[in-house]
Amino acid sequence: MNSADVVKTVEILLVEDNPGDIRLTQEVLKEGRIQSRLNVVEDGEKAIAFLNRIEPYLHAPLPDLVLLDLNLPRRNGLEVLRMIKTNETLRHIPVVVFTTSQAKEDIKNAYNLCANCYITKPIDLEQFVRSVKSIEDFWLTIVKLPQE
Amino acid sequence: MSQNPVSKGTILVVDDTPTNLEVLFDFLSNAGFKVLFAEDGESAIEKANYAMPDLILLDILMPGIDGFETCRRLKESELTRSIPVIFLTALTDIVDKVRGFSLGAVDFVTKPLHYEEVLARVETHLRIQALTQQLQAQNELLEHEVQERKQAEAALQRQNQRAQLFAEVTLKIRQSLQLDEVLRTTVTEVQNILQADRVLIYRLWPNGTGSGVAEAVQAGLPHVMGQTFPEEVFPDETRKQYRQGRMRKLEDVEHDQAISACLVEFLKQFWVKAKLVVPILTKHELWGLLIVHQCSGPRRWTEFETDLLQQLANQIGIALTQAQLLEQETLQRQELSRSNAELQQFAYIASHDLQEPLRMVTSYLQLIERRYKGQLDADADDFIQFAVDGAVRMRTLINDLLTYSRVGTQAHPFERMSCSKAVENAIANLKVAIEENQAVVTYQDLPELEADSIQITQLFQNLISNAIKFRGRVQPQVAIEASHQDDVWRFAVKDNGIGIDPQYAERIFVIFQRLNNRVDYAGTGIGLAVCKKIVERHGGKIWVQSELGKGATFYFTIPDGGKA
Repeated sequence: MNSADVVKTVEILLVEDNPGDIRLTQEVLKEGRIQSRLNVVEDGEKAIAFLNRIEPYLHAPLPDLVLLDLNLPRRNGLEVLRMIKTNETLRHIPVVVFTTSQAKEDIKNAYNLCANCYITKPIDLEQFVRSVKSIEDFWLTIVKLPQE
Repeated sequence: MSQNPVSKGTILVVDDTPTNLEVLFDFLSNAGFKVLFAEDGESAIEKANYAMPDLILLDILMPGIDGFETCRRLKESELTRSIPVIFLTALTDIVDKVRGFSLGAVDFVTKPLHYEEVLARVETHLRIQALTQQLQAQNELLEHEVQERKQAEAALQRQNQRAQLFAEVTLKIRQSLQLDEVLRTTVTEVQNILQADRVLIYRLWPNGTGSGVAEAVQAGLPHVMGQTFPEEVFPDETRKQYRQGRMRKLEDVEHDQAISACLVEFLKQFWVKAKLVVPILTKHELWGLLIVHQCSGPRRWTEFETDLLQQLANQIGIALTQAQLLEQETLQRQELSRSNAELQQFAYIASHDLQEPLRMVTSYLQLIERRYKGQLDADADDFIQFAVDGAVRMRTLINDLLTYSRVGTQAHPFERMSCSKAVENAIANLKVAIEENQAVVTYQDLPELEADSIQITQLFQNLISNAIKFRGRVQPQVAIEASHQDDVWRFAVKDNGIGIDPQYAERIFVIFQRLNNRVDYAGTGIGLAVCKKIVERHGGKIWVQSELGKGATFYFTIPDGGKA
């Protein structure tokens, strides 16, 4: 990481319809070391609009990381994932599937659609915090991603 | 040559100059023959007709009709045809011997007669004649016997043919689960076997009306199919008889005094002259009738025919019952697969939707704990702890329920698997509990089975886990054994734990049933219910033998080879 990057705010897109989870994620990220901005959309349709900068997201930033729930209203998480991974300008963005589902089918389908990783939301807060911090750590500091 | 007391036969001598023949007469008489004379052809024919001689000596040259013509006439007549004729001819006569033979003569003798020769020829021809007749009689007898045998054979063949046809029809009926096909097959085959003019399967509908549902009818005769008949067609009495399984036989509709005029009228519509009706019963319900009509004329129904029809009606009844059962089963299967699909949906919901609110409860309680610890009093900390415990327990419960529902919905096909391997895996999964309790798990002589290895592992795991969980004060010891008896493997999982009061021996396999308090023994009460479900899916049984304080032995059976 060079000095120029330190000041840059990391853009995270959280696709999540559960306000409890949204807040929890916000709380955990607040405690983190990295300066990040959490952009939240509550359904798959909005996620697609946000990523493609369609009204009302004309000036939305291109996220550095997508946290994607699967069980979403309108367009589900797998549809959003497919859209991202088949789009030239979006496919490089790491997508972390972050969901309650432990269903084998969901896990298989997510990886088949090139999810970068699949994490089941832990029931315990401590573990939840650890998971989110791990995501933050791994994808935003350890991993080297392509620069715009 | 002496006179024979019994005549050696009658000889008719035909000659227009009898004086020449006195010597012949004496000679033949002396040789034991009865001799008759005729002086011309016509009287010879007359005498031959009433005296029926055994042989005729016939002169050729005679006034009136000559010998050839006489011979021709004799041979023409049925009565005298077989009498051998020997022509008498003068040496000087130029006669056509070939013509004589072609007219049916057997021989010629030349005049003047050499009597010894005549006698020799006569005797030879009589012998030939006798032999011929004997042969003919034997032939006739033989032919008769052959005829009889042929008839018997034909009858047997007919019977065999019918038996075979019956077997074929029965097979077709049995094999076909399509009702329409059964009925069509039956009418066609019955018409073939009985050579009947019309064979009909008549359905009696629940509302009392009826209609033909299958028909095989001789070309040119009116069809009964497609018409619906009112309830009145069958009087109550007839209907009652049919319901009792009795057949109805009419051999001559027009001359039967027992049947009502209106029925005769009704039957006339369809040209029925004779009929045979057998009820078709399914499980004591009068489903319909198997009807055979003869339209060409009255018909006497043989016992064979009525038996055949009765048996076929029985077969149709069985086929119908089978078809009804199949239909029921298909419906049940559809219902089952629908409810299975629902259960699967439930399982998904349980794994996802139910856990989300639970996670919220836990997480936010913990967030409160984390942020405000020390700012609340001791009671508050306790309360939070209870709430978190409850949520954790709820999650375990959901997961266990999920396991229970998956025994049926996420089952794997049975394949050859090793029970020792399953036990090893179960022990590996229970490593922590086994080490914490310093438990000893032993197993020996476990077989290979056709089974769902994941479920069998789960089964052993639950039983071993229980054996350790409900331990006594001493070191837990779990022994697993198997023995083969009557096509099943019987497994025993024996422990030295706290045991079970025998009065609860059955209740423990019911879902959510718990015998012990939560503080000492954690658990959801689903483990043994899962065990029971797994064993039952494999076609086996599970039970427990135990006494309080004396350990428990859980037994279960799995059929040898497994049952899919």
